[in-house]
Amino acid sequence: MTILQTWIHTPLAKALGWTLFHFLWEGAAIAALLLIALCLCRPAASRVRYALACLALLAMPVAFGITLAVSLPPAAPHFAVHPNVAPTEVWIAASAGPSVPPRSTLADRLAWAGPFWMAGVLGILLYRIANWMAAQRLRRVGTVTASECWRLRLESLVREAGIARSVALLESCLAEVPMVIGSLRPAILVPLGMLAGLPAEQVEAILLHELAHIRRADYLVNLMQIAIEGLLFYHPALWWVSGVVRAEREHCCNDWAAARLGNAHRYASALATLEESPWRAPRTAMAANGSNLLRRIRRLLAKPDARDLAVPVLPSMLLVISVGVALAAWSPDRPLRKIAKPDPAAAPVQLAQAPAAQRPRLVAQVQQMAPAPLQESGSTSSNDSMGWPYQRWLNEDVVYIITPEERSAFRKLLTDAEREQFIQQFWQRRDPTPATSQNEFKDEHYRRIAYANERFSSSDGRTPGWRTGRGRFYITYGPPDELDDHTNGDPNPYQIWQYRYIDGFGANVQLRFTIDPTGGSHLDQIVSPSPVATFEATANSGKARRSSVQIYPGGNVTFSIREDFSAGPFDSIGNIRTAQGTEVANFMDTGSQSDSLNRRSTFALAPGSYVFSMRLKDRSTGQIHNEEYPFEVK
Amino acid sequence: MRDSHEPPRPTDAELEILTVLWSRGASTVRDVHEAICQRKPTQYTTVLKFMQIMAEKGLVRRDEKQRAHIYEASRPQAFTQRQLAGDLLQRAFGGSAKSMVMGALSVRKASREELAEIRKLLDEYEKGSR
Repeated sequence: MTILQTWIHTPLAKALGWTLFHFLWEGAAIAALLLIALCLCRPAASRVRYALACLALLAMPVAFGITLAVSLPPAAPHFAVHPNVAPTEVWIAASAGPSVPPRSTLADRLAWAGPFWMAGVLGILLYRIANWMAAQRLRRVGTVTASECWRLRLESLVREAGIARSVALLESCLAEVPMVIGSLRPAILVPLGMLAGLPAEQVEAILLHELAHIRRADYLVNLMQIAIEGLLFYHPALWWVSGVVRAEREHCCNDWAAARLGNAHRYASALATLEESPWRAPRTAMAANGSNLLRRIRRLLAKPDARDLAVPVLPSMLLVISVGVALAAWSPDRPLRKIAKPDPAAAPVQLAQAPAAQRPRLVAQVQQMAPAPLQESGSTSSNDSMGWPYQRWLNEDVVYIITPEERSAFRKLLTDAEREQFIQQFWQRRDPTPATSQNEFKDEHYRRIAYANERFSSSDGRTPGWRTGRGRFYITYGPPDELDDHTNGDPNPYQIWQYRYIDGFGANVQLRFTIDPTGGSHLDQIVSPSPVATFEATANSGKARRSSVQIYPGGNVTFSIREDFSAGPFDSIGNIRTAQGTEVANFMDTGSQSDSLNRRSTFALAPGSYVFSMRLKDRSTGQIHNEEYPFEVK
Repeated sequence: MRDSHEPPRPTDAELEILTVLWSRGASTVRDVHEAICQRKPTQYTTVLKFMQIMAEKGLVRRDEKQRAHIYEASRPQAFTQRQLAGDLLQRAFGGSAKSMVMGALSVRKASREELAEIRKLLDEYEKGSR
């Protein structure tokens, strides 16, 4: 205590006290100038607004520093240099006259503000260091490198964005939202399962937003911003300016990402879908109205926002209060009571205790095409109570024969007893002779799986037989009625399987399977029947690259990509939506040659109207080619 | 068949292996080792040892029917997440890390009313642009 008492009588303590006091109106003035400047520029000009807000934020510690330098004792001859002309000179003239008693009382009291301020800064600094360590930990713990397909995709996005650093893509089991961590070695963290569970185009939109942050070095700017916040924490105007910086920063990234994507609506939909997705499940209490997503989407779609006009009211009032407090305190007749009024609305982190509201699950059930259904396990966080044997039953044993309705019904079950009963009924429904204890269908199904695993597995052990092209058809439709084998001595070994009839395809189905060197296989071509309709999107850059959709008589649809690899890398993203806009299937191909298994996918569509849309992008020229075709399944 | 007591909270190193198993599904030790090596060079035997210990603890299940033993996380991701949410360090700092990171979505989630309005907005826009 004695140290403190001697300290507050030093000139430094007095100067600090005055600086803290004078920053009240200085900060308010800077914020007021920013407010005026923001009112003058268009809401769409996010980059200008961001620059202005950053300038204002930077001006605050600068003003603080200058005031402190000027207030220190030997500064007497340099008063005229002070940039803030009128009020400062008034104060200097006043404080230079120590003969006025009330003012010296005020100065003595102000000297006490210094220690409190320093304690506050120290506390915030420690808290921020802990925050920083927690962020580093988030990057280190519970993360796994994303699949090669997505890493390659990100790499090409990074190149296109003109980012020189390499960006890591990690799936994290602790992250609830996609985020960027780090500045020199930036990493994008996404919630585990998001990459597989969201439509490819939407994942890409999110990644673009994160890349925008990396491109603009926002992580570093944010660290500086946090440092300034810590230094001048006691001023509400600072928190308002800082909030403007944050909001405009997100706007900048949104604008950039939407421009890259070429469609603001799709970008906004991606944000909305992500917000609704199961990874967003709150683990702790959440603020009832805390999200700014609505405003951001409204801005992206360029709708006028009534609330935008109302926003400056609160900060303006705070400015008036700050200035008022400063002036009242400065007036020589009244002793100073309050240094600053803390602003509850601008507090950095606020957790309102609201009951976790029930969220409607609006995410469309996406039929994953490219990766085998096993990978769906990541996207099924809703059934977190489902035990491992049941997951396996759903995603391996019956994956090809369970209907979408049965699948969603099974997922909604809560107890293992219900699941056991469901499985029993599942087989009973398919039993050709319900009267007997024998279930021929089930026995045959498991025999086919065993056969596929025995005969069609790849020799390197990577792909079990049931996941190969031949395995899939064998398990679903049984052995072919005729088999034309071209595996002996053929440089490009293949097999033609012929079925007399397959539901969804029609009569006399001929399938051509390419056999990989490892023994795996994939469906290469449907030789017959001919599709009733074929849509093709072709991108030309000397060589051809085509993506096509074929509709077969029974409503089966295949998606395929044909390309001349020497044509250079292409990205293809496609999807099929219902007339109402619900996505029923999506497809992505990043042009790497390793994922040849994913180049053709087959699935069935219910009767109705659909739209197939395809986006082809030449990665070397950046040329984008969009196609949309409506079609009917009868 | 099911163990009556819950598996313990995983350590950081164990969590890394679990994350691989959640993201890739049932895997051999070699698969897990490959995935981890993409992040940092690690000895195969280290991963093997860890996974054997984890099997003893009940964090992973081992399928010994095939020649190469296949491991699978014994509990779903959400279970472990809940477990970790109870961890003091996570509770104290896990949420606050968010002031340090950048992201497309804010930490605070939109309310149901807001989401409904967002959907309405998107639909209207789509109709208007057609």
